[in-house]
Amino acid sequence: MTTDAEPRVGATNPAAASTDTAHPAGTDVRLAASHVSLAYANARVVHDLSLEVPPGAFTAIVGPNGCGKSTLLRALARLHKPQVGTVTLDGADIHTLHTRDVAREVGLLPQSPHAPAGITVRDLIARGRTPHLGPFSAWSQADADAVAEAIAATGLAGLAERSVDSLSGGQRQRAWIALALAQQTGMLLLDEPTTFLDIAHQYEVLDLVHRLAQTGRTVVAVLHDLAQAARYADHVVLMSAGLVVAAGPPAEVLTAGRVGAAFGLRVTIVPDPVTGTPLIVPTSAPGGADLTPNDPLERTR
Amino acid sequence: MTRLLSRWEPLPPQAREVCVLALRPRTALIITVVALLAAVAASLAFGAKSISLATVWDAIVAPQSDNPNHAIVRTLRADRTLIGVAAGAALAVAGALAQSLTRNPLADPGLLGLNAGAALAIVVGAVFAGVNTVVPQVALALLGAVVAGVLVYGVGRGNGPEAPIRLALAGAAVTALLTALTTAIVLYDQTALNVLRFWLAGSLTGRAGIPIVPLVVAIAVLLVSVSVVVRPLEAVALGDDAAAALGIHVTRTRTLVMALVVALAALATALAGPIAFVGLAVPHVMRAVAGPRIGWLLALCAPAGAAVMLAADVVGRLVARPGEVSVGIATALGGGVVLAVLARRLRVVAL
Amino acid sequence: MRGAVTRGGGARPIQRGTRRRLHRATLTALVLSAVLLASVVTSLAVGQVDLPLPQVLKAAVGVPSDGADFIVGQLRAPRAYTAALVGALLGVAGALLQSVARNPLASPDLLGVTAGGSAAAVASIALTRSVDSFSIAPWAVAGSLATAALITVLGWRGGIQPMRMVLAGIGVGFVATSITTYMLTKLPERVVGSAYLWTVGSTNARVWRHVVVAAIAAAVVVPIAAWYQRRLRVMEMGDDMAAALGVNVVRVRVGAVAVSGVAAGLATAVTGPIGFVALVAPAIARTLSGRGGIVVGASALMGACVTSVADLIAREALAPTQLPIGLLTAAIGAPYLLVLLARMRN
Repeated sequence: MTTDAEPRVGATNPAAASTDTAHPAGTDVRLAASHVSLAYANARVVHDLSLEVPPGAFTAIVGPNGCGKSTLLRALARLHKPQVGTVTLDGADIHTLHTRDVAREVGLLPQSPHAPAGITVRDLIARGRTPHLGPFSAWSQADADAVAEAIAATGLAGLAERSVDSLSGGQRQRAWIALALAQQTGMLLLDEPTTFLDIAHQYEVLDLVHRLAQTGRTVVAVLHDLAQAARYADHVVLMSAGLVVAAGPPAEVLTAGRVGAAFGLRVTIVPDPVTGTPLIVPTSAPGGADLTPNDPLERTR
Repeated sequence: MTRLLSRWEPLPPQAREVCVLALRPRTALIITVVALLAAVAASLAFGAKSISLATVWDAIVAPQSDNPNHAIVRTLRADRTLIGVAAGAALAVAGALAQSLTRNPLADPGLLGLNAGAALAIVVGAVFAGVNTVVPQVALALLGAVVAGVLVYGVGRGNGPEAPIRLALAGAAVTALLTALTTAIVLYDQTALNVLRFWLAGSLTGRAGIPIVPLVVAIAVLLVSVSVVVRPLEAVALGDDAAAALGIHVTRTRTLVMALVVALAALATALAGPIAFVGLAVPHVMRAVAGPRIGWLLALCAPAGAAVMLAADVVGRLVARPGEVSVGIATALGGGVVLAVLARRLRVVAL
Repeated sequence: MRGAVTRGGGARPIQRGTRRRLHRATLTALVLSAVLLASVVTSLAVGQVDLPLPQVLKAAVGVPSDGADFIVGQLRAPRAYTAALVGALLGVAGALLQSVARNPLASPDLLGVTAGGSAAAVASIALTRSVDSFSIAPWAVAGSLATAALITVLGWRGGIQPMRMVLAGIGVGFVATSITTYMLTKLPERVVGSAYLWTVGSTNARVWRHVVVAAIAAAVVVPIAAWYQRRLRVMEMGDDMAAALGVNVVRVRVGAVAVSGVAAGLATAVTGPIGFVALVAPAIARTLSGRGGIVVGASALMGACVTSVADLIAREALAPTQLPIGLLTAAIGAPYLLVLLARMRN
């Protein structure tokens, strides 16, 4: 989980309107957002945000509900057009590129994917080859190989002929990730891949995603669990109210002050006993009073 | 080997409402093509006058110009069969596309306002322009269907989880409006009423003056073109975001599919009048075989739709000899039964 | 005490808001009643022979007065009252269905219930060759109820699933219309005209028997619907929420759909299917009352207003030609629906 980057961490005060970028040295940044503002039906969600996605690393975007992290991810995936600013892929405005070309470079696991009833795992993954197939192209050996590799990488070999509906939550997410892998893209974006999964499946998916990042892919995931982000990501982007508060390695970004300010909760950071990465522990109850170690079950009146 | 999944075999608990006939699509295709050939043979042989299959064969390969049976086969029956095949295939494929587009298992091209638009256009033409010859009527019908389809799609299109309902409701609303207008006109104008009644009685006898071959060729061309939308539609079935991430233009795909539905349904109606249910029931049954594979679904719907249309027509011819029950009622009744069976036994296949 | 947090007084502003909402709902009901009254009275007074108001009012309440008696009593009153009562029934039917389907676009006309009623009515004409509206009426009710039952069954999955029901309803409605259309092409000339009226709705030539039927129907349906109102409002918050609050979701849904079917069926039986009222009236009533949920009373009043006004226009706009009322309601209702759909796109 190390990166050879020398991140510079910027604004420590979330109230400031500044944004921050991290520049890993020596590698090419391919996907970036430059001064983007994103809105839903005239309600602005993200303000003047600039971000460069560190290549070959696992970046986690975290932040409280409504901070714009999913919106940002969708903008990076070319699903959401910025009101202001540009998202660039290899230097070109992503919206001027053909969707098929973008689909060959950027894969996405959407938030609530919908599998057609009765589809088998293999058929679902095969649809990931769509950007490489024109309307009349025949299925080739290269396509079959891509699907086979995706199945192997996600450990779904024994389940390939089963219906997606009959899989567990974790297996289903792996199937969707396999679909994105079959696309053979250099970059993978995941929108809340662990939602609604139980703890074992969450870690199953995160392990897989981490492994993919280690093979050289650029992975960006929106996560809601800070400890998981700290444990698996090389690079964390903390957002709050449509702004990037801080970006860099987990230990530097996830400080008690920043997390507390972003989430409105007093916390203390302790090292994970297994991995040493930051664990977030609340020290205040919602009412605002402090909890002390002596009375862990004390609640405010 | 194939085996039919027994209706009494319990479905796996996690499986959503899917009942799959464990028939391989290739086998099913062979079956439907064979059924179609049988239906064609029956269509050429049966009718007010029964003609033996041997005579039918002779009429095709070695026609004798003075043999009246051969004449019947080569002209009346051949036309009728050709219309049945083309209209049946067109309607079934249009229905399959409409169901995929609206994600509504009960969609049918008529649901998208096309028939209502055609009827209104014809009635308006009859009353205000005195149109009562067939060729201009058909042209008006096509125009009306296209306008209605554009209106429905323009209002009802959109993305998101509510999209199928919105489109279906737009279709229902436009249909209601156009039907009300049509009814208002026919209540006050006897000519319009007669014109409408004639139009609404769908039949495969063809309409005097309508050139069959060009329309059939147009349908054939469209059916082949449908293959262009198969992959995009399969991607769209994964959800709009996933489809866009796979490089598909979602809006463009939907618009193209809508255009194909309108074109196919309008041409079929021009040939055979408004026929209900072929576009509804046939895709529904074929989906039980093809599952989520849209390519196979469409490939199966074409021959199956043609076979069903011809079968309904033949039954209509035989049941009420020497008159006949028009194919419209036969398909309506048959389709109604199929719908009821589907609802009870196989359960609605979630799209 | 350590950590004690005082709570501020937040109760009073909530009470004020509720009172204001109730105030608005009551005001809406009063205004709609006034509009309805005005419309009905105008219907009685205006026509080929314009009658002075005092005579009309006297005739309306049964006080004998020369001249006005026949016109008002035998011609206009039955028609006006029928229109209003049928409108009320349709408004209630629509309100119930929209609440169950959780969709402002669900209505008995679009979900095939009234189509089923007209199909049955036309079938009865085809079978019995008689166009007497009283022998056809039971068929219409039966048809509507059967269709309501059918869409309930098709939309059933451990309880009514709103989206499935809506989709099923659209499909079934289409099926019913196809069957009706087909039957219309096969009917002999002399009954076709009347048969068509059973597909579009008409308030023409109503007599007192129609009024009585409609009045009894309304007297039965509206209170039952009002009883369902509270439970439906709770259910609009979500099934789980409602179940937690002790509402038997399945039973309420089935009951509401049944009442809606009965109301729509009876309305169809009396005047044929007048379209769009059941769609438009509850939605407008909801917006006006501002209570953010189903409002049975206001829906009934609004429906009555709509049909009453439409009936007046249908009768007088192109006098002496009578327009079918269904055309007017479609002319208002369909564009409204399309605009609503277009706006929903965002």
